[in-house]
Amino acid sequence: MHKQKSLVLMGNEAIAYGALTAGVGVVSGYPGTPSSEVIDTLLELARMGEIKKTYVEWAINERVAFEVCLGAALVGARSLVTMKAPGINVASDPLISSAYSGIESGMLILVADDPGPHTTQTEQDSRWYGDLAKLPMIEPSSPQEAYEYTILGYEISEKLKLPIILRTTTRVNHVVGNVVIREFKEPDYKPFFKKNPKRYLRAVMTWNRERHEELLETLYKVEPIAEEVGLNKIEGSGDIGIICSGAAYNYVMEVLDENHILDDYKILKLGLIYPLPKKKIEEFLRTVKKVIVVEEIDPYLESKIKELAYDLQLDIEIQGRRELFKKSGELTPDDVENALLGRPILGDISLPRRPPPLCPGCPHMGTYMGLRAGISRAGHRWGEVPVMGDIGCYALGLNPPFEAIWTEHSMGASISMAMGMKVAGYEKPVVAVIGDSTFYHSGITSLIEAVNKNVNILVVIMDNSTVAMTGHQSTPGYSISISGRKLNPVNLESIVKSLGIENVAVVNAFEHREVAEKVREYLKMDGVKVIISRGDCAVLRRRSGIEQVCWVDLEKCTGCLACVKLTGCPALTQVDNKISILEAECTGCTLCMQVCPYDAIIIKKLRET
Amino acid sequence: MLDRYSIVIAGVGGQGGLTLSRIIATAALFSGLEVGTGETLGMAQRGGSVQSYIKIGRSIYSPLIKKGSASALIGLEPLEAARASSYVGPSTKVVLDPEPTPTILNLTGRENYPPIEELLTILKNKTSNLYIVLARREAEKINAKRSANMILLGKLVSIDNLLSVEKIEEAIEVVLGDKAEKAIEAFRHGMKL
Ligand code: SF4
Ligand code: SF4
Repeated sequence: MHKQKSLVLMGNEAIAYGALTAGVGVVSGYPGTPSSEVIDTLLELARMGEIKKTYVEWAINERVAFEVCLGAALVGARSLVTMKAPGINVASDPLISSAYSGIESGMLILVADDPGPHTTQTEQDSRWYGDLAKLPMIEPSSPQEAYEYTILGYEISEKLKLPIILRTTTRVNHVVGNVVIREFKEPDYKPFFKKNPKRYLRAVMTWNRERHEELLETLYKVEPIAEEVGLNKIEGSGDIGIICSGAAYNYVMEVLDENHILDDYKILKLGLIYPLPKKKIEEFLRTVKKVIVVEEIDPYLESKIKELAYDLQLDIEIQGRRELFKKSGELTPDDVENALLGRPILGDISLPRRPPPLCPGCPHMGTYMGLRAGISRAGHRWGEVPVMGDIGCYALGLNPPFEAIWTEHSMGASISMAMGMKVAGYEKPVVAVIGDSTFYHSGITSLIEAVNKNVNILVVIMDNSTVAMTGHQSTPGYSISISGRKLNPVNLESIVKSLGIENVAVVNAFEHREVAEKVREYLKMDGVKVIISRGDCAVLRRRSGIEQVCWVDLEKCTGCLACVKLTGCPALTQVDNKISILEAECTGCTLCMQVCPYDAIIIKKLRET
Repeated sequence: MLDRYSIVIAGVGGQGGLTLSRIIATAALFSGLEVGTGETLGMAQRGGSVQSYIKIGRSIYSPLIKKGSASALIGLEPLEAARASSYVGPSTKVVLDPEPTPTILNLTGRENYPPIEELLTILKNKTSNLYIVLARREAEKINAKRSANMILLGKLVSIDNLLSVEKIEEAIEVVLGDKAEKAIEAFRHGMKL
C-alpha cells in the first residue's frame, strides 16, 4: 500500500505533488498568475535536494516550454507544462499540432484561467481550446482533486497517446485546503525515440488529413476512459438537475447544504469537460425535470448541453449563464444562491480606490521619474509622448503619480505597437517600456522587426533581473537557477547590440537624472535606440538584506511633498503636514532624497559594508 | 463553534493578512478541522487592497464567503475593512484597527481619505459587534511592531470561541519559526485588550 500523508495545500502545490506522485520527468512553463506556484513549489523541492531526477525549470516563454515538454513526452518522460490563460495563446501553435502527433509518455498542459479577472488582461475562457485543439480537457474543483486529476491525467494521456489539458481557475489554483497525498515516485524511464514520420511530421498533407481522422476517432475513446476512472460523478436524487464543474461545483454544494435542499437536486459534476461525456449527460438529462448549468466565464457547458438536448430531441428546460447568471466577473456562492433561490445579492458600497503602487524602492520609480524628466527636457510635454507599456510590475506606472503608460496589451506588444504607430505616420516620438523577462519572452522578435525596418522609437528595457510580478522567478539572465542548476546566462546588452543598434545605453535606474539625460539625448536621435535601465527589484534587495534606509529631518522638511509627488513611494507617509519615512518599509534607494529640494532626507546606514 | 466559522481579513498588502490567514488555517488543521482559504490579491506585491477568506469547520466546500454571512471580519485598516463590509451581517464580529493607511491618491493630494467616523458608521450600520483595537499602537508598545495582526487575532479569540489558544500558539510557532516569540506575545496581549 501507498504511504499517505494529510496536509493543508494550495491547489498549485497539490498539482506539483500530484506530478511528483506520477513520477514526472520534465517540467517547464512560464510564470503567470494564478499558475506560477506549481513550478515554484517544484523548484523549491529541487533546491532542497528532495527532487533529484526530474528536470524542472522556467522557460523563456510558453511556446518554448510547451515544445520542451512535447519533446520530452516523445522520448518516454512524463512531462508537465504550466501557464496562465494568455500563455496558452502563446503556446497555441504547437498545442494544436501536438494533437496530430500525440505523445508516447503522459503530457499534461496546465492552463490557469482567471475569472474576475484578478490579475489577467482578459477573462479568457480557455475551455474553448478543447474544441480548437481537439485535446481532452479535465477540470478539478479542489486542491484534493487537483492532486488526483494530475495523476489521472497522466494515465488518460498515456491510454490515448494524447496530451491532456488540465484546466483550472484562480479559486482552484490559489485555494488552500486539506489534501491527502501518496508517496512520490522517481521518474523511471529509458529515453527512446521511435521514428514515425506519419505521426511526427506535418509536412505531408495526406498524412495530416489521416491524422486528423484518427484524432477524431480517438476522441470517442475519451468518455469510456473517463468513466472508468470516475471523472464524472452524479450526486443526489432530486428531480432538478444541476450540471457543473470546477469551482462552481463547490458553490453549488455549499448553497444546497446550507439551505438544507440537497434532497431536491441531482448534481452532475463533470471532471471531463472536453469532449463532453455525452452518454453520461444524456442519461442525466433523462432523469430530471429541468437542468441548471452552473459555470464561470462563458456559457461553454451550457451551449454544448443545449446542443446535445437538441440533437437528442429532448424536451427539457435547460438554463444557465444566459438566463440566470451575470455575464462577466467571477462566480460566487451568492450568484449561485441567487440563481437557485432567487435571493438578492448584497451590493458592495463604493469607496475611494486604493490604486496598487510600486513597492518602496522599486527601480521602476526611478525609471519613470527619469523618463518623465527626459521627455520634458527633450522639449515635449509629459502626456504628449505616448509611452507604450507591457506586461509586468511596471504596468503599475499607469497609476499616480506617474500615469506613465498609455497602453498595456500582450507580452512584447510595447515595441511592436510603438513601431505600428510610427509606420502609420504618428509624428511625436514614441517610447516603449518593457521589462527584462517580457523582453526575452516576446520583445526580442519585436525589436528585431523595428531594427530591420529602421523605425524611430525609443525602447526602455526596465531590467530588474527577475520576473517580479508573478513572485520573482528566474529569467534567461540567471547564472544559477532557483533549483541550484548551473545556467549559461544570456547578456541583455550583447543581445541588443548584436542587432546592430548603435545607440544602446545602460543606466542606473536609481539615478533618475542619469535616466533622464539618456532619454533626452536619445529622443533627439533617429532609428531604434535602447536604454537598459537597470536596478534590482526592491523585493529581492530586501530579501538579500537592506544596508541603508532614509529618514526625514523634521527641522528641514517643509512639507512641500515633492518627494511623494515625484516618487510615489509607499514608504513615505504624511505626519502633521510633514513627511516621515516608514523605516520598516524603506529600502534605502535614495530616490526621494534625490528630489527633496530642502535636503531634508538623509541616509542612515544600517550596517557597514 | 458553529459548523463553519468564516473569517474575512481585510487590509493593505504587507500588513500581514496572508500570514494571519495561514496561521488560522494551520491552527484549524491542528484542531482536526477542515479548512479552506483563498484571497483577492490584485496586482501589487505590496500596498494594494487585499482580502483573505478563511473557513474552518466541517464540510468546507470553498473559502468564498457569502455577503452578510461572515462570522468575523478582521480589519487591519479602516478603509479596507469598510470595503469588505458587504460580508458583515448582524451577527458578524468585527475587530478593527482604526489607524488609516493613506492611499497614493491621498498622499498626492488628489483625494481625501474618508473621515474615520464615516468608515466606522458603515460597519456599525451592519453589526453592533464592532471592537476597536489600536492594534498597531499596542504592537509598538510591546515592541512587536510587525505584529498588529496577532493583536487583532488575540482580540477575536477573546470574544469568540473559534479555536483554542494552544492550537493557535502552536500554529504561530510552525508558521513563523524564529519570529514566533514576539508574535505569541502580541497575540496574548491582544487577548487582554
Ligand atoms: S529611500 Fe525614499 S524612495 Fe527609496 S524606499 Fe526609502 S522612502 Fe522610498
Ligand atoms: S520633499 Fe523634502 S521637504 Fe518636501 S515634503 Fe518631502 S522631505 Fe519634506
